[in-house]
Amino acid sequence: MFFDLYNQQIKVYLATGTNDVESNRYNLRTVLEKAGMTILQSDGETDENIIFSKMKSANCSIHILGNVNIYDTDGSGYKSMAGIEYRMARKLRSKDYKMFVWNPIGKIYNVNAYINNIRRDIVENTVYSDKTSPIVFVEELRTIMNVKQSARNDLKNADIFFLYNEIDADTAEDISNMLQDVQSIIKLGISMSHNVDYNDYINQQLANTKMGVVYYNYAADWAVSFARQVWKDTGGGSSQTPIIVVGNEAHAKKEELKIFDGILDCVVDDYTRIPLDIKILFDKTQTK
Amino acid sequence: MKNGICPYPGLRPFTEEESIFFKGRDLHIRQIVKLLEENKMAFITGASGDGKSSMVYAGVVPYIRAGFFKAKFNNWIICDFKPQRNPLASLAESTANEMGLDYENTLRELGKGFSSLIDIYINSSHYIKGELDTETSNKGKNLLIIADQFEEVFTNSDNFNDGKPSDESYTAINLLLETVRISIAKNLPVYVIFTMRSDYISNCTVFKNLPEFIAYSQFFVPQLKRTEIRQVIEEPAALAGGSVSTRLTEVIINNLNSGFDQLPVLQHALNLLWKMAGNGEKQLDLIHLAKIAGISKDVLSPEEQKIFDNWFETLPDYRKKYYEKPDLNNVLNTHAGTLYESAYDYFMQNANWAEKSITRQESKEIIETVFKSLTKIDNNRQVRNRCTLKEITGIINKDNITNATVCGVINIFRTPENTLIRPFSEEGNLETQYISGDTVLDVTHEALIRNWKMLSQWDLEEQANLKDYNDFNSQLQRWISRDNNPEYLLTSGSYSYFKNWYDKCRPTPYWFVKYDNSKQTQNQKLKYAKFQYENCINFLEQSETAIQAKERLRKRRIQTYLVLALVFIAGLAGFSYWAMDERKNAMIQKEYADKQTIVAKEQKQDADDARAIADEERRNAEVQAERALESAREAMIARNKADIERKKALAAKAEADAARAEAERNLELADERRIELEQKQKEIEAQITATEIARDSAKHMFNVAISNVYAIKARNQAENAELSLRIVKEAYDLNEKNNVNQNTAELYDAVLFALEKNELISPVNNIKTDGIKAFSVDDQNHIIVIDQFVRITEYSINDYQARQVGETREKYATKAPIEKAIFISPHQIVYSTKDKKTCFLDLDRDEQKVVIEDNKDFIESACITPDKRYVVLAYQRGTIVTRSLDDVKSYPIDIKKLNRNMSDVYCTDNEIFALSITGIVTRWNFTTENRPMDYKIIDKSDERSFALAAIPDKHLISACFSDGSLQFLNTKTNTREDQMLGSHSKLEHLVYCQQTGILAMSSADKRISLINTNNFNEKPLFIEEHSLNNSKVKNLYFNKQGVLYALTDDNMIHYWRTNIRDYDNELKRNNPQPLSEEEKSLILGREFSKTN
Repeated sequence: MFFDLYNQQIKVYLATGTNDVESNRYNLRTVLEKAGMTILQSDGETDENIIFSKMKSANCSIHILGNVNIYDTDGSGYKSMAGIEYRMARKLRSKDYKMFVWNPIGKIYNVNAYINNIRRDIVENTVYSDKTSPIVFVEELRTIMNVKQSARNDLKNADIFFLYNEIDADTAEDISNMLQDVQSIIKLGISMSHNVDYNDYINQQLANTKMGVVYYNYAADWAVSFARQVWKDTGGGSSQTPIIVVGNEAHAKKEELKIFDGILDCVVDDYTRIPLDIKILFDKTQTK
Repeated sequence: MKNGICPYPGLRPFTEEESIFFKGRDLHIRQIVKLLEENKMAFITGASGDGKSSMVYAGVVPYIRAGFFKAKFNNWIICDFKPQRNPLASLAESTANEMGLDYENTLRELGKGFSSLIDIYINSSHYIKGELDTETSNKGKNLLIIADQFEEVFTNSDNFNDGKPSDESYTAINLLLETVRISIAKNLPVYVIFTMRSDYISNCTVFKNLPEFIAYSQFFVPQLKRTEIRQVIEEPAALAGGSVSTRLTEVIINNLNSGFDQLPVLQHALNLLWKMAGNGEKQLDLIHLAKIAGISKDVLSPEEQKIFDNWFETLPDYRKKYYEKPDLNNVLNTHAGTLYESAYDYFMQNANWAEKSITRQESKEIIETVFKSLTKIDNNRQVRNRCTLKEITGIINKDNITNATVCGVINIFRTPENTLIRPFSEEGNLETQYISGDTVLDVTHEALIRNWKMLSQWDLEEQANLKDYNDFNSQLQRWISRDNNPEYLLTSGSYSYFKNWYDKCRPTPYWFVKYDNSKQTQNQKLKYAKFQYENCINFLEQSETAIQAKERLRKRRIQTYLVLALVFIAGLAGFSYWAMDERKNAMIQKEYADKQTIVAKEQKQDADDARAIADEERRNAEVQAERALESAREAMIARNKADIERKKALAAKAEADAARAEAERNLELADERRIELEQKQKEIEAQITATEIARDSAKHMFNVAISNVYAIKARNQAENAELSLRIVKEAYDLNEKNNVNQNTAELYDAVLFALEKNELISPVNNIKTDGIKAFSVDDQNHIIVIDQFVRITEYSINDYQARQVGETREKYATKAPIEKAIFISPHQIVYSTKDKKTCFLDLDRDEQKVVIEDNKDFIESACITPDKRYVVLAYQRGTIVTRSLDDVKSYPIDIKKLNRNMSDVYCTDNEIFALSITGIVTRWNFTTENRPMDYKIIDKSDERSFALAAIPDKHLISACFSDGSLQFLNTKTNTREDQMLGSHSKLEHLVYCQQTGILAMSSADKRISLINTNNFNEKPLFIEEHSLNNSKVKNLYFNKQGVLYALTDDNMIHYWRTNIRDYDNELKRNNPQPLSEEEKSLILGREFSKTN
């Protein structure tokens, strides 16, 4: 929540700046302190190993750009401590270590070609900001560093994650029992009055299974809406886990369903054949 | 999933179908759902363009349908509506459609207010009472009512006028609020969502209870945080199987303006980016953003810039101008502007159902009118204004422009790719392309109004037109209310102003309808507008007629006034002229009379005077008459005499004329003779002068010759020192007596010779230092010497005798002997030791002995700048190093590597002249970055140079060479001057004395030549071998008095004055006896001695 931000314990490595941004660095340092962050910096240390281990112990680093090139791009080395620290942060950046590049002077593309080079060089886990106010910049930093820790559920590895609406519980039970003989299954009936936070649990469990199945008997309208929402929350086209919707032809026709392109397939069949259909589709996805 | 689906909808909101791509609001969706669960109602407010509708349709609704909302039934009925021109009718229509009811009945039922909506629901088949089983649970449906864009209740004058809501608006709100109340009270599965722009929230107070409900359930849509914007950008692409580069995301986030239109501008740009990247086939990157005019191409890499430039060249000119100020907000401006320019071509190619009789310009005018019609000014805000196609065609009001034409022209703004005007057309669906005149058109989002610069400009014009119309209408209404009384027609100035407005605006009845806020129906408004239109025209025409009539009347009056005025002026002018004339005449006559009086008085006076004079003259005349008679008698006598004399004179004159002619002839002859004599006299005088000069010259030469003979004879008296001195004294005296320049080479040598022989001058004695490497002479004439082990000894000199001053300083002594030492000033030494260390020693600052270069090279020469600030060191292999004398060990201020062996170096305060052994002088300014320039000062390539001396007062640099020549470089012109022969053998050392102008050089034949640079024609003096004890010179030095010092290789130091007169004391010291006549005749020969 937005009020959690104050209690974050963020360790920031404030990299050395070139002389022209010394006052910006000083202001930023003050703002970082007021925002309750722990600040690490080189403190005049020149031993690169010591600086590197200091930087590594932080959650993120901030590098300030000015009119002086910190970063020699012609391959002959790095000119200043600012450049050396920038290089170190490039090595460190990862999911758990963010690299913030701050250009407090603003949009100066034509003046500083080297800043354009740096902007072109930005990859994942690097954040570039040209907000002139250090307060705006630190607010952004704090938001980005506020990684939400999802509640851990009891997750299991399985072949199929079988999802259905509680109103279809009877038939869903039959189908899952049949499937269990050939594939490992985790099943979940969605109830409107249930207090479980389905969203997070489904997202995490789906990532631990090889295929998601949304089954419906009566709840045809629900099924597609549900499948869409799950597909969206678990990464859509970039997700590793395909999702299929299967329905009982006694209560719904395939063409009546608002199927969308992201779904792997939609099967409407005699419900006794559904386990076989699921098995065929599962095998197909595994042989790809 | 790259199958053509674009995960970014552009300017329009996300539909429920597109909810899978709606990202960034997950937390807010959950918060709204929770609010609904708890309060049955959510009143969502926020700024324009922050995605309220999208959040509801693509966020909340799919979330609810997916079963993540805890409600009674499994399924949902969702009745959504926009208030438009009648909120009650819109709600009824939606309710009827979704619940499968008859519209008219529903409208009638809902018109009763309060529980009507709940009653309809609980009496329908969708609500299941009592306990639920599996089947009934699935059959029952919860009810969700969505009142989207609720601000239309306030923006539409049909709903809200003069601060009062319409009955329909009031009923609709009454229904919705009561529905929430009952739903809470009875715990029914009925929920209500409102979305409204937050700037209309204060208007809500006009509805009873609405403010309380808002306070109870309000959700203010927060601005997206950076992480959420990142999700909005990157995740839809990922869901669709594409990707966005991190650097593009960062650039977009940074360039996105906060505040209004953040999300529409972003979604629109992303939509175009996706298409520019081949519908997501390529990763969305900076180059795609540059191509949609969202960022400067300068941000791209050079390779990408090249690709961009090639692509840019293919664009039509009208599009190129949009790339001048690339920016994220400019993307929408560029897109709309491009459609505006290409609408005509699209119309001509696609609208087969329309008549194509319009021009390109007309198509642009149609678009302008369409957008002016679809926007309006509401409380100084530019807002949307829905209009039917028919209304717009009516506003255009041209015979050749029909609904079909307007529809065809604006269709490019309605295509699925562009979606800037609703309703959108569908590809291949003619019904959606060729819409009926009753179709309501609407701008998709107000972000277009704020970001399309052309549209903003049109709106400003429209605003001005409306203001003028309101002013005009107030005058029109006053005229009408006074029964069309001509007194209330427009005045000339007002008419001109409003006529101008009318011609520019060209209002039509439909235009009047647009701004008619009355409560009448559209048809009534149109009827009134036509009436108003007629009135306008009448008012203008009658005003014009009245003004013309008034103008004519005014002109006639003016003409009359003019005539009367002219007559009056003419009369007045005539009278004035007559009066003036009369006055003038009177004045003239008075003046004439006055003058006459004066003249009369003067004439009387003159007459009196004349009478007196006349009396006087008469008396004189009588006397004169008497005298005249006497004179006449005398004259007769004189005349007779004069006749006689005249005859005599005539005869004499004839004689005189003859004599004068003769005299003139003689005078001419005399003149010729005189000129001849003068010529001769001049010749004689010239001969005398020449003779005198020749005689003086001969005498001088003779004296010089005699003096030289004496000198030569003196030089030969090696055995008889006294005689030698006497002869030299004789020569010296002779020169002095005859005012002969003393400094002849013969006499100088003879003087030195005789003085040496008589031991009156000698090398400096008592210098005990062995192996002297270099020496200097200071201002006190103390000689400072340095030996090969850096021991320093100082001597004072008195009459060729040296006396050591103080102890020899040995504290600088080194083990490695000196290779070369140079005194750069009397007390500052630079030297190289054999182990190639270069050291600097300052004797005045006793503590300083600084190693300034280590193991580099041997020093060849060194010099100090005249301002004593820098020392310049020339190393043998060609490195020239300039150091500050303040701290000689600090980093040099200048280093040049000339890559040639050095002979010598000279410097001014800022320039260095370095001489290579091959005779190249390299010159550069060491205080600036000037490039060194080379000047070759000798033609021969096999001669070697040894030393360099500057003659700064004559802007010359001289260098001595192995062939005995002396070469010069003019430092002003950088050209070579004529060379001189300094010796017949190689010249090794060269020094210059600025005080005397003497350039001294020693040669390998043990001789020193002294050249007077004040007169290069003068014959040089020589210090011959005998004066040097037959030793070779190792070092030369001039002190400030012009005394030349030399160190010879027998470790002796000598010194000489360079002018013979300076030896006057020594010559007279022994009082040598003058030569007797006999001795003279013996020395010179008899004839010479006599002459002398």
